Amino acid sequence: MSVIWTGKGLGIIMSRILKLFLICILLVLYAGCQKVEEQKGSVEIKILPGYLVESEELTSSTNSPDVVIVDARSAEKYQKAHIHNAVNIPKTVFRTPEDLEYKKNNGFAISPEKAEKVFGEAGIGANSRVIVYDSITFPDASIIWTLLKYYGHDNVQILKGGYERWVSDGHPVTQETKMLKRADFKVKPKPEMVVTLSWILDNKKDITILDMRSFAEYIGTNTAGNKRGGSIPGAINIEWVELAGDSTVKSAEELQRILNKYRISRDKEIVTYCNWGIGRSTYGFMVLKMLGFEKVRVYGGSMEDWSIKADLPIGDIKSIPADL
Amino acid sequence: MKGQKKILLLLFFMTSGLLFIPSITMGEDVGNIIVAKGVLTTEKCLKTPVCYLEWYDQSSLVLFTGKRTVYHLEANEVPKWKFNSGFGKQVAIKGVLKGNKIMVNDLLPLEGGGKMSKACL
Repeated sequence: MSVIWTGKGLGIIMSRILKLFLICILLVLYAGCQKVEEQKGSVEIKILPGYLVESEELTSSTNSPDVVIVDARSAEKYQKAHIHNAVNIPKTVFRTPEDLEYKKNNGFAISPEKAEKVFGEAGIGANSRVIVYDSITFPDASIIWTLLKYYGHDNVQILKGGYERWVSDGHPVTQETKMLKRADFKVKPKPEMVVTLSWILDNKKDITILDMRSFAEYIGTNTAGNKRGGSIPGAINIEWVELAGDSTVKSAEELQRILNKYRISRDKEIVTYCNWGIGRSTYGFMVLKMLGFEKVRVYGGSMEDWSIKADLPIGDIKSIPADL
Repeated sequence: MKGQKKILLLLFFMTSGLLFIPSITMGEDVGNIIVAKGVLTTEKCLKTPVCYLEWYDQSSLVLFTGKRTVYHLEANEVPKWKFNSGFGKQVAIKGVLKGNKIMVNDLLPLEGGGKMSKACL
């Protein structure tokens, strides 16, 4: 049996086929876009409000009685010049022999008594709004930010662009030291923010470990004073400056690209570490929190702790295989 | 008949195009983050027993591993001086592996890596 297609009939069939093809193309395009979204991570990354403060906002707050401005830079830099009414809490304050002893026994930075003393003397009370700044070449503001959060003081923000931006924007600085008015800082620790070595060993299969140090420290060619050079096996190395760039933190788009590159998912528990457990590790912690990552913690002991346990494996240059 | 042919040709091209669409819409393959070590050299240096400095060309840099595998390198976010300081030496590389190409994110010359001539062995 033969079918004779007339011109008109053929036209109708072809137009239907064309329509079908168009629908197929749209479906494939849609599926492809969905796949791209999956690869990027299903949730769009953005820096949440309330974490960063613009210098213009700080200008109007420097004399506010409820605002405590903390300069996290070194004492030398602070003495040279600082933002009006800022108090200085350099990171060395948290590295006394007593702090090291406390950390050895408790797994994180400073004792509650020390936190009450340091932050109370800086004038931080229950109702204080704390704004921290540092030099953008250091992650030190994140130390104050994390310690305050850890000890239950949530009203803390970071000055965007740090001291450098403040100065380059033409805002005034001073050498005058603020007369401190002691406040009653009461700690309400959040132990869930920090993990210990045993927690890592128990959970290492299910977590993402981020090494926020330099590549040289990561592969152990720079031991950075640790007993053994190298990193926690399986850790991903994202040096903190990759997230910071030449500012306090890179843009949300850039951060998204970096986190995609390293396949960092917000669904998995993330642990950050560095050498001391405060500094670069707290910077990574803070940035992920800014991006809305909920399951993030700091390994308080960090490499200082891991490297002294001789029976623990270590990832270093020798453990890199001869081929991929 | 001519119109029929035109429509058939159109359908052919559309079908061909359709086959390429997934590769476009699926996005670029993100690759795997890797850490590798080997000698930083160029393709040309690998092929000859000698290697001259003037052959140093960033566009043809390769990593020659201990198992004699050659990976082509692409400077991703690494400043040029890092490549310069590591050329002809054992280096450690952090980057994204796509096929046999590594998009380099960081590079570190290793101590005792030997001289340029070693890179050409």
